[in-house]
Amino acid sequence: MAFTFNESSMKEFQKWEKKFPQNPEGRRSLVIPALWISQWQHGYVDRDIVNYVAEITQTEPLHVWGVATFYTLYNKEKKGKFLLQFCTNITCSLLGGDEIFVNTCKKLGIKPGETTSDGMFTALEVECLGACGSSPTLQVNDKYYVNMTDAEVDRLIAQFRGK
Amino acid sequence: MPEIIINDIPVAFDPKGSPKPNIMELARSVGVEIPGFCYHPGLSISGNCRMCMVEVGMPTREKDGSFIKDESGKVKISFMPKLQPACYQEPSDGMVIRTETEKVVTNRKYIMEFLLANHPLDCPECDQAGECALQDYSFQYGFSQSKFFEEKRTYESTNFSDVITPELNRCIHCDRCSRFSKEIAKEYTFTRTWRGNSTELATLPGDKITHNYQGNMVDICPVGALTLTDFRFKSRTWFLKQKEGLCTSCGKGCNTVYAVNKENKVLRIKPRYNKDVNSYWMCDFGRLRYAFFNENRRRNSLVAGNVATPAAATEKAASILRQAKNVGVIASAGETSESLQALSIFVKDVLKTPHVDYRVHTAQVENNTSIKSGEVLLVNDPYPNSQGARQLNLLPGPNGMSVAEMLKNPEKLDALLVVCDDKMIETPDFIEALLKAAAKIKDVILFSPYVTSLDDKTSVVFPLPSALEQSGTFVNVDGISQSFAAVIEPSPDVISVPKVITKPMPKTLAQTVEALKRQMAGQDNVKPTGAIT
Amino acid sequence: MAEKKVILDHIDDVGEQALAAYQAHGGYKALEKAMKQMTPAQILEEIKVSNLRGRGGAGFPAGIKWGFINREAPGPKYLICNADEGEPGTFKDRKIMTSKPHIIIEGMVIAAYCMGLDAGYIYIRGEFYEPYLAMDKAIEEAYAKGYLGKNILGTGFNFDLYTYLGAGAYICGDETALMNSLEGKRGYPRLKPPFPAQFGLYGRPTTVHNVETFSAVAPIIENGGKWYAELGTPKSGGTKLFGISGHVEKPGVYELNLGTPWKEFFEDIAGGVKGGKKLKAIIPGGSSTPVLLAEELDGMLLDYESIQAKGSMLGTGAVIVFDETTDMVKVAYRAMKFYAHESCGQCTPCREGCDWYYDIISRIYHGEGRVEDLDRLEDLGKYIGPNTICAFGDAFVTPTLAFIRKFRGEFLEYIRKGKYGQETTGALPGSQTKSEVSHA
Repeated sequence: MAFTFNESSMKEFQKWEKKFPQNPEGRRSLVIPALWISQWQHGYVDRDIVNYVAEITQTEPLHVWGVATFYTLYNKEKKGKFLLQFCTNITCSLLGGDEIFVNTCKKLGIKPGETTSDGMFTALEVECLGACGSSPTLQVNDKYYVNMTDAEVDRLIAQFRGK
Repeated sequence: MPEIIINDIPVAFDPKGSPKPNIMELARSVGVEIPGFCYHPGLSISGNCRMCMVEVGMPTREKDGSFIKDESGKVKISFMPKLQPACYQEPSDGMVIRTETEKVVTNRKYIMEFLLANHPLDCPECDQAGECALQDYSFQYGFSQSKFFEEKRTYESTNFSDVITPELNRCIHCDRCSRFSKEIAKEYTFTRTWRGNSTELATLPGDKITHNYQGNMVDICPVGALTLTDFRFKSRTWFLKQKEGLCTSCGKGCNTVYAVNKENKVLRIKPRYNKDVNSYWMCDFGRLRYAFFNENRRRNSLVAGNVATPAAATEKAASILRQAKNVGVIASAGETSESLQALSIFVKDVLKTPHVDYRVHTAQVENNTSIKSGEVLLVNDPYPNSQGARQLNLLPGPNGMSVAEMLKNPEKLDALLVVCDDKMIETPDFIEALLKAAAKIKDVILFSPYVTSLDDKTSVVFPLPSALEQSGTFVNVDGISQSFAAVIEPSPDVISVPKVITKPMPKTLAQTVEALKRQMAGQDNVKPTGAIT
Repeated sequence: MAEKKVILDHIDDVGEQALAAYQAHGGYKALEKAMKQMTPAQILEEIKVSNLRGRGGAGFPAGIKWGFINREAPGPKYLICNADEGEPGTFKDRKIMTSKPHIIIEGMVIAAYCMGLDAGYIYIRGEFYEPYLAMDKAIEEAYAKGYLGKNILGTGFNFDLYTYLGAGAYICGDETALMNSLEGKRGYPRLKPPFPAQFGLYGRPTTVHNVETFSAVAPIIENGGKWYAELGTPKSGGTKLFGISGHVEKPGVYELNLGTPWKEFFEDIAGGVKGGKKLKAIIPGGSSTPVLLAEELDGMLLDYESIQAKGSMLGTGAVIVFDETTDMVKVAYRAMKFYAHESCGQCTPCREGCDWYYDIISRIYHGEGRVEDLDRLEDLGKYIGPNTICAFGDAFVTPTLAFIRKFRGEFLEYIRKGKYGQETTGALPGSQTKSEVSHA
């Protein structure tokens, strides 16, 4: 089944269309938002999405793939329901962020970057999230969780499992 | 005219000139070589390799605009604190460029060092060796020993082309290949993906590049990251004799360089720059079509299917033509204009027959000079000299038959003279029609560089030299006349058309020379261009 | 000299992000004043007098930058807010976007009015999804109130403002890479010249500023450039947001008059080293600024000149505090890991050099270093920064060399305890510090 925007995605896309000049250059600006909207709908960017985004932005599929691979937030493969992104950059690592990451991976029984077998959690280490004043910081999907500790992570994971 | 000064040599430039004046080219024009990997005069400027960094200075001026001079009266030059890329720096009047200062020389050493850091030591098994910019510049400008002791970055093996065999570990990310695909081949199927030191030149995963100009990507790759599958491991480049010539696979007449080995076999064709014909490029179809120069060649003359001496064959052909009443001539637009000229005079003044035509292919019948749909260079007409044949009026005279008509009405002819070529041989329908017609014509005299299925159905066969074994002129589809010299010495057995037809009738030799002189004086179209740029 | 809440005024009030609350505290008064009582030339003059310098790290004077735009040139001309806050240690812009987005909008409209720009984009890094929603909501409110869109405040001036969401690339904090990203492309920095004022977004004249820089505009217009300038020092006008984190008692974002003594900020306001430990070193302005030892901080003031005099930079004002227990080699290693991950890969010295630097530091950190490695870093470093297309080269070389110079002992200790600890002597093969064999 080839990918297309569902109704709410299309509405979102149409909001974005108004932001740019109505010419090929302005159309190309839509590649990055279109990839976001596709990922919000589908969870990750695959070949079908690349072709679809190229079509609706009137650009080339390889251009879209070049963009998708340049930016790290586009998932190029399916991730868990909860994408746990642990910052391990300077401040977070000073305050124990890398230990929390390593511990979490152990507890979930996965290697860094992998997804649990039940498809619930993927644990990654990421670069500075811009919340250093309340580090260690964890981003789960779109939301920030700050002042993390091992206990806090446990609590969150339990909470997510409960959902 | 504004001028810049490169290593104390003043060079004038036209700011409004086309192409836009570039310091790399201005330097080259006065014999100063500035090394660079990503710069290519046929592509957009990328400025990413940083090898062409040079010292750039401007004359200093007072507030009122007058020059500030030093004690010796020379204008003081203020050099920019950082080196600038010569490929990107816009020249302006009075600019001073220095390419051999210690700062520049040392900088180049380190840029080479960075480029070689992750580059595998593949020279012993890399096709590019001998023609490799990285090798050359490393030797000329780099350190003698590497400083890199880390693990080199590698890529997973990938297969994105039938024409190119990639060795991506060698890639220096100059981005020439992807710029070429987008700007020249006009296909967005190869570009940089991922990021940082993991940047990979690629197609969409699993896809292949399909355009007809991939060989050019191999040419412009400064290293052996893109190799031509056809040439892979065939020969070391320093064993090749490389001679200038023209591609003969279509009417565009792209300028080429033929690489020939010791046995006079063509191993490779590369394009040669010509600003009016093919720029820096050629298509893969023409590039890879050279086997026919090497294989299946006719070396002996035949009479009635049996090997004969050239003299005997000529005598037989002459006797046939003396007696024949209705002679048909199928000329080949694969012959040089000089050869066709001799043939034309022979047909008009000696044979005096109206049945002469060169138009074997539909594109010739339609006089189609256009580029094939979706192509950049390849044209519809597969013949290199259709325009030459046309200029020489090798067309049916009053009540004369065309090629198609001759083949349909063979009973109207008692002798048929056919100049055969590689294109005809590749068209089975044509050969079949010719065979059928030959069965109904008393005598067929065949001139062919190749062994064909017609050989034992004809009265006489003469072995022709290939296009690489002749010197002469082709006129391309745009009417541009291009002369070329022989790339390979012909073997002693082959005879050209003019040699054959002037032999049996010596009187015609004098006639031919006179007629040639007249034609040369009268026709402005056929202009030998001499040296090819 | 102390905390002065110009931008941070009311920022922690619940609901301050709403237009009504912002307005109740004096918001959009400056916009009214600028558009109804001042000419663009007068606005520009105030900005010049204010000595406002770019707050994104480069510190380029705003008054000069605004003067680069040719008002009379045909449109469209653009204004871009760089909200790609990605410099490790920096977290001030996020606070403004989440809690007081209207101060950004107001500043942008005033700036656009001054420079005659037609539309603006706020480029927000992809991780900042919540701030992006907050920004969108604020823009919606501003449109509804007539502060954006057509005929703003009845002056006939039109200005549209949109958000854009990045997707995870630190390099898009570089203004030309940001513009390429806004154009829906890979975020490669562009070669300069031309500069954004001549050739920016879609090739049009463009001005780019950091979130904090725009946030200062409304206060400047409301209170006057002179007022703002006098909050700081003669060369660095106004206040600066300092985000302090790491081994500090009270991490967070603080707004200080430029020129505030470091000691006053660190000890009186931020509470000093966490847990009362000893201070070892700090990074003063984000990971791209050279580390400063505790003893080097004596008498240092928090402004552009004073920090530069100490051999580092104010940068984004992101202070990271290291106490005596900090393993500086690990810090250097983690910093290089970040840069290797974020290099765009466009130009040779950065693409190869960054990975090379990371490989060397990684080897040292993991116990396979040699003394010559430190020389190698110094040797190569000289030829990276001057050769790169953008400032990323300097951004990873300068701090790394600062680490190895100021904490040489710690690096040597790692090397000594490592695999080659006992055999490391003399020069590595290929080292060109001795006689050089050249062919030229």
